[in-house]
Amino acid sequence: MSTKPLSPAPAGAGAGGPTTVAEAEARAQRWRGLGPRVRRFGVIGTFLLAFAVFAILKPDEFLSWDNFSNILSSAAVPAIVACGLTVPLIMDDFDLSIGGVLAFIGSLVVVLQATNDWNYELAMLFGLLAAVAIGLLNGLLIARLGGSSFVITLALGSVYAGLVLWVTDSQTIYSGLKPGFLSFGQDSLLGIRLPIIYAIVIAVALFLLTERTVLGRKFYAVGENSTAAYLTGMPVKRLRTYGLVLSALAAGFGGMVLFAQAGSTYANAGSPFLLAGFSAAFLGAALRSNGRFSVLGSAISVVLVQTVATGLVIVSLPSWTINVFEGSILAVAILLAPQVRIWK
Amino acid sequence: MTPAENASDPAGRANASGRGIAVEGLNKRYAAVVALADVSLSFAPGEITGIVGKNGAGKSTLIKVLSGAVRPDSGTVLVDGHPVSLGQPSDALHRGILTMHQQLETFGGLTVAENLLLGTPHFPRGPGGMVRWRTLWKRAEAVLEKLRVEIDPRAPMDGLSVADRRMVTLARALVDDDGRMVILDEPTESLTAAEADHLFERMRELRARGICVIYVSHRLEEISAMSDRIVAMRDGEVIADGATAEFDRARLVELIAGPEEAKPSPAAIPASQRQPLLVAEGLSGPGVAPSSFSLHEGEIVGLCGLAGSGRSALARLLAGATRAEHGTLRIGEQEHSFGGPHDAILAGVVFVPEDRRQQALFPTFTLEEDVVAGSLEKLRWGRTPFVSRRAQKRAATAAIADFNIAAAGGEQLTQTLSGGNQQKVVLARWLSTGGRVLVLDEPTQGIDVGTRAEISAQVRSAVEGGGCALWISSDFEEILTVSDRLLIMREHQVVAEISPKGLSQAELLSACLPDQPDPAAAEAAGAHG
Repeated sequence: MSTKPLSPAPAGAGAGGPTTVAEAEARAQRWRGLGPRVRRFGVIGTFLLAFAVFAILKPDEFLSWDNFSNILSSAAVPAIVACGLTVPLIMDDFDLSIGGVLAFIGSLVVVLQATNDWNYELAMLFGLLAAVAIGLLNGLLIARLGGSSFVITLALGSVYAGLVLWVTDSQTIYSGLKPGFLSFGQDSLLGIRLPIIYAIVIAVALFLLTERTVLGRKFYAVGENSTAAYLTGMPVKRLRTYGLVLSALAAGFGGMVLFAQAGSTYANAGSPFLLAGFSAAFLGAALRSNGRFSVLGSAISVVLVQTVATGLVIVSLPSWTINVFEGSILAVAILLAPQVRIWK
Repeated sequence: MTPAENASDPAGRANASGRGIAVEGLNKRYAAVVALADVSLSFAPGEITGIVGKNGAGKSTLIKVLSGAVRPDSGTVLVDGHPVSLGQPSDALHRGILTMHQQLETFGGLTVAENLLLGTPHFPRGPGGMVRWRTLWKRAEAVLEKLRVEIDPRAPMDGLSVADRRMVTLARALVDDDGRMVILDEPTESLTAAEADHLFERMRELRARGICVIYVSHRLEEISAMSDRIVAMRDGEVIADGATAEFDRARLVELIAGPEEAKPSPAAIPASQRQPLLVAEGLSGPGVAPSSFSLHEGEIVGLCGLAGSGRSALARLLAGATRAEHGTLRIGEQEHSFGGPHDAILAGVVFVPEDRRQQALFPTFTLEEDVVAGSLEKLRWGRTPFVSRRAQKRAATAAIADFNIAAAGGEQLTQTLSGGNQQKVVLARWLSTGGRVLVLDEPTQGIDVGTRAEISAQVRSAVEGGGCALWISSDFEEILTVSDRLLIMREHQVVAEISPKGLSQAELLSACLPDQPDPAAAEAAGAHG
């Protein structure tokens, strides 16, 4: 069908032109309607550009094996947290308690071995069980009783952050950590630091779970349309609880790795990981052609963000630029992830 | 421009330079899909134009252009002969073009009067922007009076029935004398026959006041009865345009479906003595008073009742979405009490809910993922927890072929399919669970004639393989055609069973109305089961 210009009146009539509101709307539409390819390559291109700038400014430092290893090592805990967080996000549940859970479970495990002289393996097992219990509590309040995941996990996150101060007596604990616990966070296997290996194993496991199993397909179905999933016979409440348990478990495990890596507990350990986790998850959604949350997308995004953050340090920009950068990433990623339901 | 359009230019049609609203040479494409192809139409004041066509024929796009929601790629909209630019919905409103969308957009928490007058220059403001409530009530009352509807302007909007909310939306066209055009998209969807009649009277009222009314509906009888003129669209083109008298039902069906697809609905086979598959005795639950009925192997049973009579509540009860309170439900030999849809599916119940978008579809799943979502357990890779890609591909390909789902491929997102194809996806997904008892709540809602016939053929073949179906529809014409037997619901209760043989729509309607003159007679009319 060719477009014939047959109108007798000037075609662009109404010459006053559209109002600014109309223009803005049209612009927003165009922006959202950006082809997924443009969106993905835009994001990846921006990161590549940043890498190029760092590589040109400080080639010896930025392009070294040490730096690469450092980046992966510091990306390990955020990656574990972000991959876990992605599972409830797939089901449209926000888990804002992960920062609190990470600090609480990590501190608990340290206190049990340092102050109470528990066997470190036992302390870690107890920590994982406590994380599961926290996930079940979140699931009870959100999936069973219907609380808003946003508000409930925001509130409980503060409770867990408070419990950190209780178990550590508001002290930084750096002595009494068992050698086995320290090597759990600091040793290497085949030249690769253990936290990197944990992160890879967890990312691969959660990737397979969400993308390749029947259970994972149900997670996505719940996120797409929970009413339809329920009417299709899926146990929606149980599935959502699984998601919250997995994110609490990942955050708790991340806390143990973090303190074993650092060799001590420290104050406010959790909050940076909350932001890092959400930034990565949303950036990951923006990177995928269908705009869905995915474990793989989150894992890759953590590494991208961590690389730029490290680069900012290497080119000697002041440390506040890292905060600005990470916060901006989340804001931009949300705008770029068109399917994400936070819009509604 | 097709010859059909030139051939049937009805007498008295306004030309582009006269009063009224016209469009000229409208073109609109979405990627490869042509939504409007060189569409030129004019609408005279005081004329009701019915627009018919399949889903995807271009009706919605035309409406969106006229209401300012979509800009055409090329072409002009003329108001009283002057080209105008409708860049956004408020531009259309200022030109006196009002659109009543299928999904009502009203301010639920505000009063009727506020809904009527907000956003118009007639909203009375006192000093400091304060609302002058008394003036507001009075003005709103006067507007409602013009349309001859009795609704309290002070009532909150969300306390009104769907029908009344439609009336209030319609009344916005009469707020001032600048109202030129009212566009109604499937206005009778989910209205009862009486409510629809009321709406039709109001439409005539608008016509008498010199407003052009554009009326889009899949309900051909209504279109024939209501409109002065009919425009048929297919593939973005106007394929016929003429006075309503020129179109009989057969021609309309042919125009909508396309010549080769216009096959008659499958003939109903007589209900014979068959095994009862589902038996309910005194079954009650939320929104359902104790009801007894049975469904037999091989039959489609229509469930009729006015909106609010409890049809959907009964469907949800049978599907396990709500819990039974009293009574028994047997499927085959087994008595069941469902704790959730999961139990109902295990017992062999297949439920297609009423609201496709809210309750059925997984919008950003690919077509392939969506059609298999009900039978994931069958797609396991051996005994592992993993989905076998090959099994998924095979199952999806079969379903897409069986249900004749038109898509670019298995990777197309379901939200980008047309309404009819989405409904086929939903049906295919649930039928693949292997259930034998089909509970279908408005399965053909908002779907064109050709697809309706396909869906009823699918259901027919599913029940002939040893199942049964309970088919809920507000469309009496359809339900009389598809059902072997009819159950009537009144005031939350299944009260009668009648045969659709030789039954007229009027007779069916009167059986559904509350306050039966002689309940005993109505009961006797059907009960032989």
